[in-house]
Amino acid sequence: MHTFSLKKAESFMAFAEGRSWEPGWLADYRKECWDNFSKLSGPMIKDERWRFSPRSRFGIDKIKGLADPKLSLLIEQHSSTDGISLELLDRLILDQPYALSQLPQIAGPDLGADDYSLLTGAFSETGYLLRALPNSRSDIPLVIEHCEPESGKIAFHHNLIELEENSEITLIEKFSSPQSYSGGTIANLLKVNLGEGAKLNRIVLQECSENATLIQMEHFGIGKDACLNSSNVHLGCAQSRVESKGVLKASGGHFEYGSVYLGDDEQLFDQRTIQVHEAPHCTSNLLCKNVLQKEAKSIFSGLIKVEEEAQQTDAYQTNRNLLLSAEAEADSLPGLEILANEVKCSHGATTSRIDPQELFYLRSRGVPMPDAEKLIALGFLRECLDGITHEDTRERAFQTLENSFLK
Amino acid sequence: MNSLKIANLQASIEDKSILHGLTLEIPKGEVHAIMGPNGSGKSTLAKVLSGHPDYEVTGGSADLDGENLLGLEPDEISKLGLFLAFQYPMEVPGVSIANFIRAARNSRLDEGEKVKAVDFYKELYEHMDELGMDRKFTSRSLNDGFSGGEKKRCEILQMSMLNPKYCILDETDSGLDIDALRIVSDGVNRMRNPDRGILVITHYQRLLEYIIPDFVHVMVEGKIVRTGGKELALELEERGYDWIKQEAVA
Amino acid sequence: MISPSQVEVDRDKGNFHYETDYSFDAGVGLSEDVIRYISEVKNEDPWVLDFRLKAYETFLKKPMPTHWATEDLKNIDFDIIRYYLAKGQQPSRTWDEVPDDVKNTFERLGIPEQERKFLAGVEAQFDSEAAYSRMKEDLEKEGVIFVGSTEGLKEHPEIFRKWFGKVIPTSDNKFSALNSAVFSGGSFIYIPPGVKLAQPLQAYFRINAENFGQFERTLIIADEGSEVMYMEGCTAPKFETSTLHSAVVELVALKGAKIQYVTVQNWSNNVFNLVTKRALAQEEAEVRWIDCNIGSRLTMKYPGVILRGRKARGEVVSIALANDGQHQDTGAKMVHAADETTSNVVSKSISIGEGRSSYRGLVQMPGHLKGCKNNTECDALLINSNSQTDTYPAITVQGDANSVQHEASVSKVSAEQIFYMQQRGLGEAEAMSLCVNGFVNDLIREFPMEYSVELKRLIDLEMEGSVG
Repeated sequence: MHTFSLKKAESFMAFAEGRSWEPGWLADYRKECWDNFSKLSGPMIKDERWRFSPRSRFGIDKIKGLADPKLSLLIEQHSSTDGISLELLDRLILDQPYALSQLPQIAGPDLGADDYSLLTGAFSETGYLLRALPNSRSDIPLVIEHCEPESGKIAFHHNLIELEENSEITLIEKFSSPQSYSGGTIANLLKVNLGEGAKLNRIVLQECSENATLIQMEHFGIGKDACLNSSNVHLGCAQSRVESKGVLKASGGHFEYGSVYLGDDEQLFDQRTIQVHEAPHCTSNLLCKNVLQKEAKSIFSGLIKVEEEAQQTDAYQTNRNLLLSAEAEADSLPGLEILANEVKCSHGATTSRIDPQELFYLRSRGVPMPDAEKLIALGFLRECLDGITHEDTRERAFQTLENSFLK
Repeated sequence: MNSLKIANLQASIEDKSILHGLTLEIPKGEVHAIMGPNGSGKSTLAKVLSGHPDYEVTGGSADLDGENLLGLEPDEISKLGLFLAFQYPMEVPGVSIANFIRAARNSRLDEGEKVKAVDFYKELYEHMDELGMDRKFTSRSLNDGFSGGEKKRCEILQMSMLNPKYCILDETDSGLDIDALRIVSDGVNRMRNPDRGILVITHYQRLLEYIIPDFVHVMVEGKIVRTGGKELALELEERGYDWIKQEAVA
Repeated sequence: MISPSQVEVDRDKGNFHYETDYSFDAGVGLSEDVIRYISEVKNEDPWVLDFRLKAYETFLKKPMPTHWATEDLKNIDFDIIRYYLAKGQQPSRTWDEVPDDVKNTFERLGIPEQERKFLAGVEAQFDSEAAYSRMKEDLEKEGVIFVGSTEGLKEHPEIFRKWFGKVIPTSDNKFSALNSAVFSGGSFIYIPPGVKLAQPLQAYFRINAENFGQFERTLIIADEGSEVMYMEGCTAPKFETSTLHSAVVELVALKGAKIQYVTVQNWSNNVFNLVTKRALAQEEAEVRWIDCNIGSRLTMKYPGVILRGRKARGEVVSIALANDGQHQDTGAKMVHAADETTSNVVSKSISIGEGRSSYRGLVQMPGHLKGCKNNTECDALLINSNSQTDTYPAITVQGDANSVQHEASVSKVSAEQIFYMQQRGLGEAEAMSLCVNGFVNDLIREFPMEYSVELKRLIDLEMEGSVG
């Protein structure tokens, strides 16, 4: 009996043997992913994609086992609309394996976490598949819950969203921890394909335990006149790495991305984004705001890439950090790579403390210092949640944020 | 010879035909007004005469004192003596008004020749005083951050400094309050003389109370459909454009 | 006398070349022997040779920074470069003593004329060594030192050795290590306490020989409360093969001192210009890098200020113009290391044709500091549809008592702007030039008058043929 390690070939073999009932192509795919993972030369010291990141905090050595797939991913709200289906992979593998044939084409965002992206391909036992047929619309938000596994274990989720022409869906993804759990890891790989005119409103609410680790890898492909609106609230986790890539593949596409992070203690929030404009007449807008207390640290690295063909691009990227303590740290790497000239592109990054004048104003009205700080910080973050079009969800996200701050 | 003569002019943008055989002659010493509903092609006419690269001339002719304008570069047309006061003057950050007008004046001289700074500023300040412009304006960037009224005054300032043979004022009244309108109109009226032809393009009759035209033309769907005296403007103000459109169709 | 056939002339001001005989030549390629040769010819103290040899080791060990920088660096062939070429080691004090071929070069570049008009001192470097160096006599009486690097280390070790290689350590990067191994020429300047130079000092760097590498080393120390403006210009003829220029420039502004360092870089389009420039600013000192990059094939230059003393101020004002075949990779580094320090970066770049301009920035503010501020603005202008621009700032802020603001934008000259100007009679190219000059106008004003006129002319030249 050997001890499990993601790096050991025998661990992978044992895992693969246990899943010998899977279709051959899936087994081949897992093998290919694992082989590629084992060929990675280990973290390069000078990998720019990890600049400023204490990468060891995302090390895979601490992982001692795989999570129970039945417990780590749940559907809280199914679709009741014809033409829209939301299902879990572990069931699909048994019932209709052909439905998963696209799985091997799911590429990660390629923003640094190659190891986790390949390991997800090799080891994932669950994930969700969300599909919408042309012109279908879900009236209620669909809800998925990702659960932190027990300490030392990792849950790999391999997810795919396919929205066909003119379909529209609101999806809430919650990341949470069962009460007794602490110290588990979730690696979540998501590929989204939006067909012509399709619209996805996605809201991420991350409230994992204070010892959890999250590696979030997202790749959004946005088709003609399609619109992707992603709003993200990150509160928990000892360390989280979020890689998001939005690719505007055909004219008229829009990519809207907002994120708020509220960091406390020694929390680390490591965020990497890229807005890729491949086609003309597309727009993208990204706004990331972080509030950091105590010794919390955030890294924002964002790039707007405008390809030669992508004339008439409008692309914006903003990172704003508010530091509330002497030990908090914010790193900012806002980037532009522009190869077309008929474009409107800009980025801005600011890091500062709360304006003392603002603070004074509130205190002069009788608000005590800590409350005044919190009020101002919440006001600062609120803007990012305005992008959530679904009103109930927006209020819920804000409530979550408020509760977390006032605890 | 002594006129801006447009005959059967046809032009289109991105394969969409806008001017459908427009004929109009503005002799020196006269002020003509073109009125017309939105989308009738008034601004297109101004741009086509100035050689805007987005428009394609598909037929007809346009001559300035006998010289063909069509196919010339915008700067060549400018140097022949045609001035267009833009409806929306462009903002050009970092380029001061004084330097810009000087560059434009120099472009009219023989190569290597330059206007003398002293003479230039003397003349510039005279015109600015007449237009009620603060002299500090000379160092401000061209139209950058100007109010609507400041932009239009700046257009008239350029017009008076470049001494053109023919002026086209494209919706110069838009965005002006009554005081600014009076100042701008006074500036135009000072430019009226027997050696200069003026074409005023406007949607409303209001401007024509200040700049009294010798002739008023009504433009509908890319053509002049009616020509009259200044009283035609009043009639349009009272009755709107619909009756004239119907007559034009009929 | 020079016969006309020996002169190759082009429209570019610096693109001409006189045949020259060198008395000292370290040959082709780099080795320990080459370094020993340079040190021996210069009659250096043993510690300088040691410094060079250690630097050479570091150079060999350091990888090319291609994990973040352009792959074009791989095209530098260190084995075909000539590392030391000189007619002699002693610069002349009058232009009459300068050899004719060298003198003619600088006459054509207008250096003696500028000296007469508005400069407090001039050093003119021809390949490895200064051919001419002179400062106004009254400054000498006030104790101002303005000499070459060799003379500085030899004659004034008590002043220069203390700071030499301290602002920029040898191992800072591969090219600072290379410079430390083979440096020659450059200026060593000392301004005594309270002395404020009314006129600028100027250095002019000329590469004359093909496949030559120029590695000047400059160290400026402004003692307490003193003020100096230093200007440098540079040109090279356009050869078939590429040339390397790799300088190290260290500035030290002691308490309350002010240093302005002005560069107009107009190397020919085959020069790799890989320069390390950094300043140390003590309490209430002020350092401004005013930088304009028009020439070269690849420039990598990120002038920095280490704000070491309370209330020190650092500034980088930068204009870059990248035309076909050029990559201007420039930026700024601001390292805050004391309370209430402020830094300001304004960068404007213009990309023409297939030109590429990049901005890389670094701002650091550790948490134990209070009241630090940085403001950075980067604006890029793209002229043609195949022009390219990138922006890669890196900002680290700790603590709740400091603030940083970074803004960047990309724009183009609109067709409507051009039409508007043409309607007033300006030609298309002239209109484009005016727009581009307007875009950088506020920064050009930061340059001394004599330079700003030249800059506008250079920009006009670069804009020719960029439209249509």
